[in-house]
Amino acid sequence: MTISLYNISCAPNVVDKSAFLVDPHVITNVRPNDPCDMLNPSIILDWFNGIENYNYVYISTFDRFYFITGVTLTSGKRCVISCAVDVLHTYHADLVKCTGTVLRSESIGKPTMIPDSKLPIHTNERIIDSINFPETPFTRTVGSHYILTTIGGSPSSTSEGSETE
Amino acid sequence: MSVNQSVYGNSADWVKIGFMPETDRDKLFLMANFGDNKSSLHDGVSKGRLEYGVPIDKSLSWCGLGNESNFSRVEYWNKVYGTYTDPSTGKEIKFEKYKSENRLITNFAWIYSSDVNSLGIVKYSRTSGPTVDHGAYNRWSPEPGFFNNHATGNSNSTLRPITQIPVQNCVLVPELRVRDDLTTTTSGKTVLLWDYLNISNKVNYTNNPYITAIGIKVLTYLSNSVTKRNAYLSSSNSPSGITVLDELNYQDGEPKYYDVPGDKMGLIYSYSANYFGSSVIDRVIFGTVTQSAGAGNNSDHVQLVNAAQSGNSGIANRSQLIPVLPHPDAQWTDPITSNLNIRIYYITYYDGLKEWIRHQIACFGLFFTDDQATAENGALDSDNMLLGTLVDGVGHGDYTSGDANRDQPQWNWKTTNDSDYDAKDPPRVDPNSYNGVMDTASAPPLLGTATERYVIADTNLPKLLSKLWDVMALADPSVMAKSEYALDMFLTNNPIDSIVSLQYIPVNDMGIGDTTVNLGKYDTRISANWAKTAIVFDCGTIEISPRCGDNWIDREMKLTLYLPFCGVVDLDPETYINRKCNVEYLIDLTTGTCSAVVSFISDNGKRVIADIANGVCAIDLPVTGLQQQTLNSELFNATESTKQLKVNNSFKGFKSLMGAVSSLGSAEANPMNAINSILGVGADFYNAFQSEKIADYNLQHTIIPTKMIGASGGLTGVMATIKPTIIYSIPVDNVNYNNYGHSIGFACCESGLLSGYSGYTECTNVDLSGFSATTTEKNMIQSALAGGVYL
Repeated sequence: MTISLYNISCAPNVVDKSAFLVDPHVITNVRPNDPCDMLNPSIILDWFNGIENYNYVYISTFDRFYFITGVTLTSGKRCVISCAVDVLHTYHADLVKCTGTVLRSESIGKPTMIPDSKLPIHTNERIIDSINFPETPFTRTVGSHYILTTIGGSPSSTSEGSETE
Repeated sequence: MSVNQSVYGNSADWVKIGFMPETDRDKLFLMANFGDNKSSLHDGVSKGRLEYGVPIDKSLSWCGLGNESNFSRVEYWNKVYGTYTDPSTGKEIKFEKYKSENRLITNFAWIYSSDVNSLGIVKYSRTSGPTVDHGAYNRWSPEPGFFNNHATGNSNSTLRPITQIPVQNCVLVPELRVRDDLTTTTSGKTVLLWDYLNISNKVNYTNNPYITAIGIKVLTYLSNSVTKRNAYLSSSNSPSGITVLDELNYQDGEPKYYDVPGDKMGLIYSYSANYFGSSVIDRVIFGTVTQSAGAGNNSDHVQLVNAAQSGNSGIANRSQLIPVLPHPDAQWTDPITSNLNIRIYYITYYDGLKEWIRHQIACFGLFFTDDQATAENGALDSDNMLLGTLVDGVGHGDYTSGDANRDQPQWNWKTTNDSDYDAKDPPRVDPNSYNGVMDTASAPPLLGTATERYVIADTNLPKLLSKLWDVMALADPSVMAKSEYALDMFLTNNPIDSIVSLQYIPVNDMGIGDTTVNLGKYDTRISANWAKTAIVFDCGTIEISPRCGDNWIDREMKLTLYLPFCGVVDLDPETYINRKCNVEYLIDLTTGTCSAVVSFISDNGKRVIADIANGVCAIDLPVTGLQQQTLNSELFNATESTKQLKVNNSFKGFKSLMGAVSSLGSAEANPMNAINSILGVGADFYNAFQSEKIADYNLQHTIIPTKMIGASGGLTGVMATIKPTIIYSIPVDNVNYNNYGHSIGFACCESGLLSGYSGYTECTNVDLSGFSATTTEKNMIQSALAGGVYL
């Protein structure tokens, strides 16, 4: 089988790693370990200088991309490379065509109306502000603010006080 | 939703109606083509497109008519003269409203009924079973039937459904059927609304105030070469009307056939052409289906059936119900003198009728106007061109005008087939009516009580209070000497006794009208105003804006509304953010209690009261004063007593002295009597002078009677903020959102293609069908997506 070894610098949970798959080291006549799990294969190849720098591999036989999880030296200048399938990049072209329920997204760009328990909001530290309504019926100024309630008939003409004040 | 072409024929083959030289089919009015350019319901049955007795396909309805439309509220009146007893129930039936519809949405069709294209049809007769095609008059919801006898048979068979209305080439205008009397069967007159409102027109609202029907006339450009819209789908030869496609409710519990008590009248009678429209007025939106037994087609009145008769003249052979498109103010006349069976259903013209008509026409979602110039050649966005508003495809009677017409989806319709309304799956309409507004508070009128209430200026109050302590302020010494003083002044009151309460209320504008303060019979001449019973004060509106970017963090904000004298109210951020908050104070000036009404403006622009807080904004003030009339009375009594004692004592002493002198004459007989008499004179003088001394003392030491009313209260509220105030307590987010979003994403909950997202993404329930990974791999993918990936 033929494999292409890569050294990728991206996080393993990047779906499309195409931009990081540069300068492949292609090796032919690679032999799978026996038995060989397609999802977690081990492959045997001849040791070469710099093999320890590779962390990602494409195995054409399986048409899948794998993380290199370990390199084990064996006899006869050979080594065994343990791999784990990277389903994200392997199927990235199909994945983006799928629909799903998105619970968190960077591309939303800002907090939404969905409460976010992971966002460090200091509910105990608050800014206090206030705003007054423009009008009020109440006053502190001098004016007519006393209400006198009386009971009795209409005034008599027999009594008078001072002039109207 | 487009008209169902599997039923009504291919749209390219729909049949042009009448004469219209226009060749652009998007500008034409078209009707169904069931085959061989045949359009009637009879043709539909004979061509195998329609099924006899089954309601026709509803896709003709380009919109729904909301509950506000008269077609959702059709009334059915018993068409009985005298009384009739239902043979099945024994229930007496008389001329009265039997039932009415109340649909939330009504589907409908516009119908054309000329027979031109139905000539040559084979006439079928049906004679078996109880559903004999028969003379029918009020079955107006069309179900297809065979044409057996046009005169008395199933007239529905001639109806031809209209399948396309050129929205850009169709303007509706209102017309009326009016009359000048209600006592004869004289024919009415059909008049366009703008002519009817023109006082110089021969037939206008002053000389023909009674309206028996209101309809919709269609105006259209008959071709590209004309510049004036003409009447089309006219009623002159071919009645053109509107029919309901939904189930009618009148058959539930309908009385039974007179001669065959086991059958309902509705089953006996077939369906007729008497949709709402006639040769005198098109597409009726108010009025009755007037075609009736004995009264002839298209008359302006209804002839009731004589229940006492059977056969053709009686109820046995006539429909029982009169469908009525109602108006809230409409009424039936009393029997017309010349024919006791005849009634007229009418309204009298009123100022608001024009707007009522607009709302009814607007339900159809088409362009319309009640302005003649606009109707004849006005642009579709001219000021007087109106366009019915459709909400989720349903017309509720609202409309736009002028430029605003461009904002409606119908602006982009070429024909009614561009509507996306689906009559088979109409939108859910909330049966509750939310168009009511919570009334704004208003103060009650002045209360009629035995009390008088004055508003006194701060500067005048001390003057009033000082008068209450001024012995002479409210008394007139000169009057006291008058003979009528006792009558005038003793039957009076202490001024202080007239005072019920004195309150301080720190509110402006409490008074109306000028007066002076009266204390019982005394006019203090202190200026004052009459006090209002209550006042309502609008403190204004504040829009509660989000402070954190309008997201969930804003909903963590704590909103507190401080209401002077009423305390604080917590406002629910979910409710108030992005809405306008209003505070209104209701202040009872009699008791000083106040209520702060907190409301917000809902999304549909209505005011919703969310909170009410109560408090007191007045304090009672104690009032003290002299009981002046009591004092006057005491002073008067004491003075008079002194005067009297002085006179009496002098006289009594003199009298005693003279008695003693006279007793000297008898002293010879008994010297001791003389001595006793002299000693008695001395005692009388002493007692008399002592009484006078006491009276003088009492006069000089008369205690001034006083009285206090009320007690001190507290009103510290006025010392605090006197304007309603909203206090924001906003959580702090010291977050760099760029870093945060890249490392963990922003919480959301939405469904979509993953290609629509980028960067850090967490996703569940991904549909992984469509590509050939192993099950284990797909599980790994689901797990990875749920844990977060970078897309």
